[in-house]
Amino acid sequence: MNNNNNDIKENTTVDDLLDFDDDDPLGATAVSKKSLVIFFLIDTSGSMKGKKMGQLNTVMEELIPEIRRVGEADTDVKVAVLTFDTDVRWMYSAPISIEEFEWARLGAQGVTSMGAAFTELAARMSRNSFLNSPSLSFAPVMFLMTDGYPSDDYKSGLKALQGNSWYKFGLKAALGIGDEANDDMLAEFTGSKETVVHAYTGGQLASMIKIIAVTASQIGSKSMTLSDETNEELNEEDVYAAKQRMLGQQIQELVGDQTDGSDVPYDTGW
Amino acid sequence: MVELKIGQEVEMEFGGRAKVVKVLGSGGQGIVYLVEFNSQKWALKWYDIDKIKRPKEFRQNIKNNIQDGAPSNKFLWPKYLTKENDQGTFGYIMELKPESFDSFVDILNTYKLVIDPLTGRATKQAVRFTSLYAMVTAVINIVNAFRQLHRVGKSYQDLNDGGFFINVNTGAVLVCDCDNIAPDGSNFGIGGKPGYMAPEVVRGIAKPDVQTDKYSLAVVLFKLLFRGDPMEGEKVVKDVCLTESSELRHYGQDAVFVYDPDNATNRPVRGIHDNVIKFWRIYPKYIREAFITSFTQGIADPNKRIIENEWQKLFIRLRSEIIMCVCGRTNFTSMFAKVDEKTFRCPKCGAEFSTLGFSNRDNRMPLYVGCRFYKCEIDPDCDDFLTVAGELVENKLKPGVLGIKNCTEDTWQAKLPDGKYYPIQPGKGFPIWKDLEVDFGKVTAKI
Repeated sequence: MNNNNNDIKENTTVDDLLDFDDDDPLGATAVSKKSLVIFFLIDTSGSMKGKKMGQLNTVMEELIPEIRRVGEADTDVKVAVLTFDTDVRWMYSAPISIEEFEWARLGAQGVTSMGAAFTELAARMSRNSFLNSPSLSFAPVMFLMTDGYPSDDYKSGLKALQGNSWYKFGLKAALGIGDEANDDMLAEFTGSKETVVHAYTGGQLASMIKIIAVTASQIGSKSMTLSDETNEELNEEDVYAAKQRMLGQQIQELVGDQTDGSDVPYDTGW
Repeated sequence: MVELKIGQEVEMEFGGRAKVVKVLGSGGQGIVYLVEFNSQKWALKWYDIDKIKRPKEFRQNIKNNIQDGAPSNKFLWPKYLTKENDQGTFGYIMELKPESFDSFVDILNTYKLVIDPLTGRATKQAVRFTSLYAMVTAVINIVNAFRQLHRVGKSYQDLNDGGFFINVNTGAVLVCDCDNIAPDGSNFGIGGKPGYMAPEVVRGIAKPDVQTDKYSLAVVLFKLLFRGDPMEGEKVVKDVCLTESSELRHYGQDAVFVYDPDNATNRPVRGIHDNVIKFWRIYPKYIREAFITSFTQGIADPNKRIIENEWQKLFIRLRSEIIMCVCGRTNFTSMFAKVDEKTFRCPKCGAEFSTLGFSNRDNRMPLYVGCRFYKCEIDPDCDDFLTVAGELVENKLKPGVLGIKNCTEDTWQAKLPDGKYYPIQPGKGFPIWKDLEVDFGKVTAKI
């Protein structure tokens, strides 16, 4: 046993004993959790109108209960939804705990102001705004879904985002819907091709959204896990962006299982 | 990932089919389903085979574990393997967790979500230990389960808060997820859950084994008692965002215990780690010292980690130092005032408690109606910490007279107020008085 610890008291002091209103060993509050915010960036421009939007709404409603248990005792998972068409709008004014989150069905109209959405996200991903949890946070998950090409200057918005360190350490994934969405442009957002997937059919849209959202929140809400078989000491470079790489790898594995008959255009095969 | 569908049938290794009823949960290595097999309900763990590094060896290891059997009834052990399907995927079935057990995760959360099957709406239901006895008994049961496992030469490898179910009324424990259990020294690719992994595993310089299990066990015990993370304090919170490299630092290369007496850089932060701050002062010195040793010297030197047998002794002592006062206050003797060497006083209501001293230990047991001692406490050769040996009760025929009832099968000898020793048969008792002495056989005790 350790003998040189002076701040361990043999006997409890009188002050401690007097505080008997708050000394119940069973009177615990929940363990302090790390927080994780999942940002959904959703294209609600006119081209999404109809089946795409209807299906997206349904998938998102189903998805919420599925990611509810992801955080377990360690992580408080919150969700924030940013929609962009002609305007940029948050579904709720602040991130909401997954346990209380209810999906508000979205409509679609207008043009694709993706750059403005990036700028807005960059402004909100801050200690003084949406990421204001007093305890520790995991880097956020950012999931972009779009069926078209930005109609504004997305580059300047992306630049603002790239200057944000939450973005830098966060997990980024994107889903292109239909023929118009540009995977190269989406890879600029995620930082790698592996974390960009494409849905051409309604069935794919549903499964891709679930794969990406569940996988990203699972990886995002947990600490890093080891996967190397060597016995060498890990250093900072080994682990840098390890989660983003893991996300890319897992998305590709899972998507690989799903893409049979993927050449069918979005609007056929319903 | 090959998911199973409701109603789908899976062929079992030795014949028969298990029919999928519903999904029970999912984890890092696969999904757990409720299945019917031989007209009984079981849990089927079905692997995501892509996530298993060496599936052949992994399967063989489960097979070996099934043959060896569980170390004790505290384990939800694999029972039968399924056949491998075309993709090489397989699973195993095990008994279902009884309804009366809650997951450790829910205990740490202090609630569970109950889903209404019709609306899908989730409501919160409190999950708390109903007595201090039950909580300390749960700790002893967890420690004992790992002692039993390590005694048969195996290690759990992936010890974390998802691995236990606990009955909050009795403290009974069931260890689940037993599929990564392997002979000490073997590892089939599991690293463990961060926060629970030993620092040398986080750093990548060691694989899980019995020594790293001991570290993870200390984390589990710390979380259960102090309701916080032993390595998360000021130093870690300052990082704001827990990136991969900050985790490597705070849980691996530069892990600092929040109450390291020689390093105050990582103390718990008020407003975030209130549980840890509150509970640390409540527990007696010998419990705090054991955690300090585990999380200071034990970080760099696995041999300094507290062994299960030692934990078991410490927590059996802790359980014997619980006082349930008449005013409703329940706490350890360390949180009661000491009138003299043999008497405690409740700081809230002033009630005083005499104590019983045993010949095999220095700590004295406070006496109050309902207090108990267990077989292992009056027989040094006995490991039974669950069977009550004696209990303090009120005499049914003489109200107001308190005494100790012999709940064992043995006859004790007790000195009564006339100064003579009398035999105390099983089921009988003797009154508490100022010069009481009692001989339990291998251990004696006196007021």
